[in-house]
Amino acid sequence: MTTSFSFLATFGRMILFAWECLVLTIEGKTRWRQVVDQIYQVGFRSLGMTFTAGIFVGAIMALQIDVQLKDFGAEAFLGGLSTSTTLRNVGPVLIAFLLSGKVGAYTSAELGTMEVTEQLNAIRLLGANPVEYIILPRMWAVIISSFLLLIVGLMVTILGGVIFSEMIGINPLTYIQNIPRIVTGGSIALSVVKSVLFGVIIAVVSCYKGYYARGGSVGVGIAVQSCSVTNLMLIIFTNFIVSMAYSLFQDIFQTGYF
Amino acid sequence: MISLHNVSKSFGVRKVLDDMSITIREGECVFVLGKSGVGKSVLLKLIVGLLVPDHGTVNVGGKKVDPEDRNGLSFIRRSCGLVFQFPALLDSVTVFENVSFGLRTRDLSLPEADIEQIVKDKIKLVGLSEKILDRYPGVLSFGAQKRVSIARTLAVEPNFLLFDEPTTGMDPIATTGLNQLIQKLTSELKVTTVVVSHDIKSALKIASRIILLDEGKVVFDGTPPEFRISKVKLAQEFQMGSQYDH
Amino acid sequence: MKNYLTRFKFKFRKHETIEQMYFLGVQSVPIIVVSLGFVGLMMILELAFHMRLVLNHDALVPSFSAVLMVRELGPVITCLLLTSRIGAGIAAEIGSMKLTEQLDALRILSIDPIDYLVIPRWIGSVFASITLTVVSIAVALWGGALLATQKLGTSPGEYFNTVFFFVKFPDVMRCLVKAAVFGTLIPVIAAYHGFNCRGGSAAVGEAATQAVVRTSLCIIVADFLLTYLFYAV
Repeated sequence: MTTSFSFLATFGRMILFAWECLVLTIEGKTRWRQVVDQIYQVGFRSLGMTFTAGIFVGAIMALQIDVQLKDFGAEAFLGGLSTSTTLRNVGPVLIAFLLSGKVGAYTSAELGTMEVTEQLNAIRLLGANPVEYIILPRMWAVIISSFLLLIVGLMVTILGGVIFSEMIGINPLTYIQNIPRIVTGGSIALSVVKSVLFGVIIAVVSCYKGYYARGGSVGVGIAVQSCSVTNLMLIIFTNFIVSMAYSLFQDIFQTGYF
Repeated sequence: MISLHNVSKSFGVRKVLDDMSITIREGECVFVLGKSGVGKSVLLKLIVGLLVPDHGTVNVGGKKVDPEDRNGLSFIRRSCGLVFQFPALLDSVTVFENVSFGLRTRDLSLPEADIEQIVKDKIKLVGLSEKILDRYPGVLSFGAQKRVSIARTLAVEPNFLLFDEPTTGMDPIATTGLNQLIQKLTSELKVTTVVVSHDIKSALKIASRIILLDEGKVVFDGTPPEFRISKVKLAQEFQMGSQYDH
Repeated sequence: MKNYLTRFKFKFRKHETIEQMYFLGVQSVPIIVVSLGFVGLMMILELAFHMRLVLNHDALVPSFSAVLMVRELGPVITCLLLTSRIGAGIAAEIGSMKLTEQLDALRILSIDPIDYLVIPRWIGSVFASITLTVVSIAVALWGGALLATQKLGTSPGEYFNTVFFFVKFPDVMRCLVKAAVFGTLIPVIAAYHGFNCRGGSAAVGEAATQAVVRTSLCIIVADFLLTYLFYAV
């Protein structure tokens, strides 16, 4: 019981932290050149991993759905169903998992180390706000690069599915042609929304955990681990909430399949 | 003038400072000594408002140190420079950027040429060559990084200079160099220095006043000659320990 | 050759093994349960969406949900969560032991670090991955039941009757094999990074993060290979 309360308390603090960053951004205090710099540092280096993950996730989902559809003789639907499921759910979640491991851990480790070596305190004493000077550019960099990486990853999953269909002898063209029949505009919007939200989650959680790291290198280690776990749980939770919202929207407004 | 009145601070069950009252006057070079982990760093952080006392008040230059009071805190931090135990240089920017950091954040209208001049002066003051300005902190030796961080603190011309364990982890030659620098700052620049340390030899050489802390309380407060003949047990142990170095 | 064979002889350290089974397995339960509960809910939503879109008929949603959980998402998501929870810890622990020369100290005492450190963690990790996968599938299906009764209008009885319609015994076995394989990958890759840690404390952190990322990627690749092996060959 206490653990769940402390989780809620941490969650609340993270929201306040994110709010402070948002206010600073609106006040125009973001240093965009630093952001671009950080995007290169953080985002570019995760491209390879995202690509690999995308291909395999796409292939796995295509494989699993193919197994199901074969029993029903409905293999014609493979392209659309596999792409739709991957884009809406499995793709964003699994790729976000990997990004939280790489990008999130890197950011929280860097910020945590800066905090325990007193760099952030030094900045405070010289009259600047470390949140504005150090945290904010990194937060935006992580949001933007996570979002872009997720989009790239999702597109690569489609590629993975196509490659797999080739491997098991299904005509790739049939595969691709089936996609627009089942993947709706709403599904694409859903995956874009999830990509944005997951990017924000990874950014806020890693910056928060790094900023509040305490206690030497052990503290940094704790921060990084806590960051990973919190990221994963929040990603799964948000994934559900967004899907639920979509579903409720569908039901309430009787919009059919959008 | 820096003063602490009945200051107490605990971390959990550990009482680090217990009803402590100290006054530090202008022009002094005070060494605050104690065993490792006794709370000396906490003292410095209380002075600049990075920590808040559980009881009691801290005053700097007549103003109370109060994190709620943004302007007051700004004023205090402008008059106190704190040099950390780790150099705490920002490793993603050059030495020049590091040293000029405080200047840029405080006075946005200072012309670039002035900033450059100040940085060059301070680098020379701490005994480093101008060539170091374009390099990144990561490639410098520990001693050089320490000096850069002192230059950074000096750039904003504080009235009080606070050092947290400046000579810990340095070889004897570097230690002597640093002691000479501290002496120069106190006597030539008339900066009041407070050094937190457990380096008794440096203290006996350059301090004008020694304060010894034990278990959260002040057990000795006086000049180095008084320290040498002090009857306080810890003071004697400290001196015996340093004698064994020969 | 003899060296390789001696690798397979190891001294079973009961105390350390049980300790690891507790740390890695039992203490991960809350996180796994909560997360997989939400995964289960999400599965129902997604399948309902697709089934209605394509087939106009959602009676099979619970059964498909169960099948996908058992064959795919159960082991994969549980083990990815487990990786982030225990992978970094193992790498960091062994890495800092290397840094502080404790590994050398063990060798001098004629204790093989692999016996003492890696094997118990391996057993603990496989124990954790298998039991937690089973628990998580149960939780996910249970969570799915809650939602299905709302969204699909099935009654709980109907749900639990049909849920295992497609799941056959080989599927369950394959699920456990996947979990065991992933459970092996975690400590092995983490320990490798820990043992090869060079430098200061920054290197330890580096090792831990690399361990997690590489393990996660390996799990995804291994998942593909195993799924292909089980279902397409």
